[in-house]
Amino acid sequence: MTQQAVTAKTSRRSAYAPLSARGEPYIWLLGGALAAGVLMISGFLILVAWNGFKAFWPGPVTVITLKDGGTVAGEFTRSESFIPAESTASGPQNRALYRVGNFDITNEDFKWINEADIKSTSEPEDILFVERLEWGPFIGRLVAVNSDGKQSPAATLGPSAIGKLISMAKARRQALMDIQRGQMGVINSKLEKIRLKERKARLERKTEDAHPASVSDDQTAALERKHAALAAQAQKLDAQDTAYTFTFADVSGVEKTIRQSAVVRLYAPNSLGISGRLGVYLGRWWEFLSAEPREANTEGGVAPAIFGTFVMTLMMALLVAPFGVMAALYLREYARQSWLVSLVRVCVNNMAGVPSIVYGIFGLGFFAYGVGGWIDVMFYPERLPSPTFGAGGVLWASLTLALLTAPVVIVATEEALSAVPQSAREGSLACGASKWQTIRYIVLPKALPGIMTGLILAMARGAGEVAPLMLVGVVKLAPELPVDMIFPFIHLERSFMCLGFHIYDVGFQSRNAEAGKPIVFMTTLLLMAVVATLNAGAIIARNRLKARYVSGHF
Amino acid sequence: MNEKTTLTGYKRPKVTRRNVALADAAAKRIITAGGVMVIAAVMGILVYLVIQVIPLFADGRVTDMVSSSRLAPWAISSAAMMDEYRQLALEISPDGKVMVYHPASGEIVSESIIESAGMAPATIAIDRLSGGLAAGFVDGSIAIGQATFHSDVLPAGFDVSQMRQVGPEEWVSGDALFSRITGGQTRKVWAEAKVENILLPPGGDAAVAMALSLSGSEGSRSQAVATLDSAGGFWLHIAKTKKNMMTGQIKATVRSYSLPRPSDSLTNPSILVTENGADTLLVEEDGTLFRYNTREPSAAFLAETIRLTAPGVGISSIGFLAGRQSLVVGGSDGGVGIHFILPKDGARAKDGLRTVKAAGLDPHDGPVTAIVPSAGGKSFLTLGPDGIWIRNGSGQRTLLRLDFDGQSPSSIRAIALAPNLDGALLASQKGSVRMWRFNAPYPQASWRAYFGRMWYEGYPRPSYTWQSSAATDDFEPKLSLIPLIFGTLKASFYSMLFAAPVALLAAVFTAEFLDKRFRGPLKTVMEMMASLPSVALGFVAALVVAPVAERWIAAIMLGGLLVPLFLIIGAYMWQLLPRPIADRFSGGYKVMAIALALLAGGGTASALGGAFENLFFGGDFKLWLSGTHGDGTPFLIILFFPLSAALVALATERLGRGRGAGSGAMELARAAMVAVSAAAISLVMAMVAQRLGMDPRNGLVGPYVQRNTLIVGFAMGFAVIPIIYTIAEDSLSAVPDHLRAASLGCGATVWQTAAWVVIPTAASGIFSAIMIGMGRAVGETMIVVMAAGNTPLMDINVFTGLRALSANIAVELPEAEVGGALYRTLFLSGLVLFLMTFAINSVAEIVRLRFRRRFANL
Repeated sequence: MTQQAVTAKTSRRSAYAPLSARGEPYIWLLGGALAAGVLMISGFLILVAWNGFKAFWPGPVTVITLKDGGTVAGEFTRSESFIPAESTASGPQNRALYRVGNFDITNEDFKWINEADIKSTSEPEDILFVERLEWGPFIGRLVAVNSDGKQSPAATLGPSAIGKLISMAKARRQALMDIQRGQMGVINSKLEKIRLKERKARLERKTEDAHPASVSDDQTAALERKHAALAAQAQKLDAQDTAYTFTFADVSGVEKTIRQSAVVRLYAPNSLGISGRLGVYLGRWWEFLSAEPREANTEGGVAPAIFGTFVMTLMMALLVAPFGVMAALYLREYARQSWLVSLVRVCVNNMAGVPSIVYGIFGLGFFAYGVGGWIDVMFYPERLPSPTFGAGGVLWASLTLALLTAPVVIVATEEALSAVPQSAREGSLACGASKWQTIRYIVLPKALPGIMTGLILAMARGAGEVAPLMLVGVVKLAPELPVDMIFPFIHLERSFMCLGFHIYDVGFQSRNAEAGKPIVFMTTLLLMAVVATLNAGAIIARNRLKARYVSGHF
Repeated sequence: MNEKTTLTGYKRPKVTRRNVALADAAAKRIITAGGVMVIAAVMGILVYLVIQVIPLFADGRVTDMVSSSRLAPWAISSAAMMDEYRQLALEISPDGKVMVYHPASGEIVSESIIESAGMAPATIAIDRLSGGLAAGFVDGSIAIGQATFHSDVLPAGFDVSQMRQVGPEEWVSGDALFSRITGGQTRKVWAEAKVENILLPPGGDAAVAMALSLSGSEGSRSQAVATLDSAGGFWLHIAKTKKNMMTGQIKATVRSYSLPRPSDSLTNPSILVTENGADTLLVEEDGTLFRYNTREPSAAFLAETIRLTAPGVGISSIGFLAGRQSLVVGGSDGGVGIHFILPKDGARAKDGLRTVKAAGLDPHDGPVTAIVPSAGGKSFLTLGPDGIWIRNGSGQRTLLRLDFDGQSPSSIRAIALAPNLDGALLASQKGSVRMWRFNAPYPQASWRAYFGRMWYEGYPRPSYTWQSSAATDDFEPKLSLIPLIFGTLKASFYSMLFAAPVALLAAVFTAEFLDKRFRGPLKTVMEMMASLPSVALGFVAALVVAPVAERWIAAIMLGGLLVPLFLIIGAYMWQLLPRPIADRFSGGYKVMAIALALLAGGGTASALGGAFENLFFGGDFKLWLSGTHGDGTPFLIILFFPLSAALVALATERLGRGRGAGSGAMELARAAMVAVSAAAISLVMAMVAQRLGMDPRNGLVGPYVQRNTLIVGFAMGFAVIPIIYTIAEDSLSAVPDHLRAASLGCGATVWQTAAWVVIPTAASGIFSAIMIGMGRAVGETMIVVMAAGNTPLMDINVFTGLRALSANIAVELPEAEVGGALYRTLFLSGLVLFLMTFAINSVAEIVRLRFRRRFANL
């Protein structure tokens, strides 16, 4: 009877659960969220990569004749549809943004052109795209070349001849820079050093009048003579350089004469073959990576920012690695495990989540103004009131970042230490090794990949950090690198440039955000590549660690 | 037995080698010291922030007090003033005697007399804020001038040996005081008070009460002098002096206007004139204020008559603070109030202005007999029977209480406050002087100013406002942290609203439904995204996403509705597939189908964006947002739709129990019915709500700005999603497999197992993931700096900007003066930020530990 009832019941049961139990709509929503996340992230990466990689590609220059008779030449940037302000036109119209350059003539770098206003367009072969040291690009035709009084019309010169002229001009500029920045810079710094020495001597004797050691007088005089000679030489070179000029004319015929040495790159975009374009593209890449910024950072390269980021991250790693590991070793190996240590552990863990700007405030107040101000008073009184260490600098930035990343390293190291099986320690101790020997030869080597993971993650975070650095030493344009050839070679007090801040600065604080966009996208791409590389390193290290301990874990 | 050799033949040492022991001990010491140091340094941040913040709230501190009793006894002084170095005091008696003296020694530095044609003044008025001086004579003439302190720095080597020494480094000679300052230099300080220009020639009735307001600079100055004369006339004289820059010639014009007198019997009236003579106030001792609008002096009228104090309480003292916008009223009951003259809707006064009480300050025990403003800032001093209190109007705070030490307040003839708010002076009728030097560096800082609702000058009502600097000198800094905290919370709320569902749902799908092969790479990618520099996100959000979003805002709003809808429709379509087929393609194909549904939703939204705008928002969503046309119904429908859909779905849940072949179609039909009826219900609800006066445009949404909270929420969501996803996924996949096996074995579906077994088990881990994500959103700086517009507003509108604590620090700290009030206030906001994130992270950590403990038992 009961047997029958059961069978009767089961026979009515379908092999499948009811549809609502399968929760198909919910599963789709879950999946949709994942797909959305993945799409967003890949969309973001593609956006940055696409904009970054295409930024330097030399596009054709279009000459547009407008219906009102004017002509405009420019490189197409993007187009959009818009609804004109005047209500006469019906519906949306299309317009395109062209990079027209010639800022010194027209006062605009970019120009929106309505499709409705265009009469005709052409892409003439002889239009040149000239990248200049100042005023942004020039788009127009070459009219005449003046090489030290030797006039030659543009038509007689081929591209290779012009290229030769430019490279010669570059050499002249380089020679001038060598004197002005290099040799005269060294003399200036020597003079400054003597002046400071005198001031220090005066301060020590607390008198205003007395003149210190007479040696410095001779030195100063000699240096000043040398300086004057160099200045004269520089002036001569400069005067020579003015004799070499290009005369360009824009499409409406306005002529502009500029020095040959002010031309960075010159090409005819419409007659360039694919290999030529590639050459220009790679040349721009190289300039981006190796040159100094120009035009309020919107042109040129980011070499000082790359260097600054590198130096700062390296110093940060050198500071955080020993101290972070030491703190973790103390917490895990030396401290007696009590509630206090657990509390400290929780707090350290929490510190990893404290906003970076808070560390920035601390760095500014404690390191720069506090410790730095004290150092200035104690060791550099002759330079006051202008601060030496008493303001943001690469040392304070690295220290701040070291503090910021210390919790990351401590937590990662602790985790790595706790993953080393207790049996390994006991074995070592049983063999007669001391505690330090055990740590040094058994525990640390095994925990090394984990420690490296933490350290690399810390470096990735440090390299990508901007907010605290804005407070403790990053500037938009640093006149000198933190490391150079002038004694004592490493200048820890100097402010510096970094990639993250460069993005913020060029994107938000520059004269023309549109002109800076290529650089911003490129810098973003570069920064993301650096951070991603560091992260990939960390993940590889962690996977190795996992592989090594996969049996020891469970 | 001892001869037993070891395997290697070497004898093993039985003691630890010395260098090993040394290394061990050294390592222990170094690691302990270093570790403790590092941990202390990391934690020291909190301590440092607190130390930097404490001075803000510290009371003023008296550094020293000097007194002397060598001055001539005077019955009363019209006014006393102090110089900024707290070395000289100047007193003017009502009959025109001017005395400049050195308070510490009581030594007279100079004496002079204010007179006109040998006549002593009948009344004298002094404007303490500017040093302006007006003297009225019995012949009816009025002369104006100034009381000023001068100082000069003389080079090192100045000889003081022949002078009278009055203090350790102070000498008096001629009419000046000399003192040694740093670097061997000498500072010379002197004071003078004189009347230079005749405002009114003799002839009229003599003034009995007078007030003046001096404004403008050396080049062009305007003085407004209000007088009550002995014949009962009430006058306003406006003198404008203009100095010709080329010739140095001074051109003066004087105009006099008669004001209607409110009544003939005024008891002890006092007069006040606001900046530029805009308003002239006549205050009676019993507490009544007569306000004359004198913006157009020729057409002046009595605009308002109002009682400033409670009935039965008189006014014992009254005065303006710097800027002449705050009127401080001291009552005969000891009460001290600050009043503003403000434009106010529905004001009874003819000019639409109204005098309102903005704040009541700590009261004295008895009548407030003097109010002395400080020339800089909104600080002032009040004198009551229980002492001299130094206060600040902006911070509504009593900074310092000075005692008289037994002196009776009635014997006080003059009282002064140093311009830099670092000294106060009290002179008695008998000729004794007491001077306090004190420190009150942050007068406007107080808990109320930072966290309370404050009524600022010129504001129509009390508000929470952040405005740290402005171009003018009389500016009152508004340092409320509330708008910044609100901005931080708003940004993190909207970003979590976006990020938490996406991240958590994605984590659940990854852990429970996704093929195991994809999990590893997906997680790696997500982890790498977690360390994406936020400056890159902020830049893309502000410069790429914000302009695009502004154009496509309607499509984006529609997308928020359509994407989930398309996913659900996709799910119901999928259910139409016969089971065996559906099961066979449940792997990667299904994921692809889901992605397709998602893209279709997005695509449809962008295609229908314009139509959606036309249908619901009268053609332009942004215009609709600004409230110029249409009503709130369309948005209310959208708001109510998810709610009503959920309700209807729940109510019809029992219908969806089909198992057979046709059940897919049945389900689809049910879903369609739910959608239609939910739409109808939400329409009705929206219309009812609209009738009841609900319009989302006044709150949740409102006028659109390009860099708004939506953009910030999106960008910050981007930064937070990988974190929440990683931690939530970790805790979901940490749920032991035997739980899943048991549930599945009991016949539950994968969905039921996920929803009722796995998610509840991992709930605390998921919660801590949300908290950690929230912590990061709260502290995120660059995204809010770049994409939020940095406007410290307080409204919940998604389409306006905001200013977060972190962004505020990044923007303002580099320009703040070191050690100044703003600098320390920014440290305070850093401390607030620290505590907020620390609290959030601690909750997350505690929950996580509980989660771990729970897992230990599973």
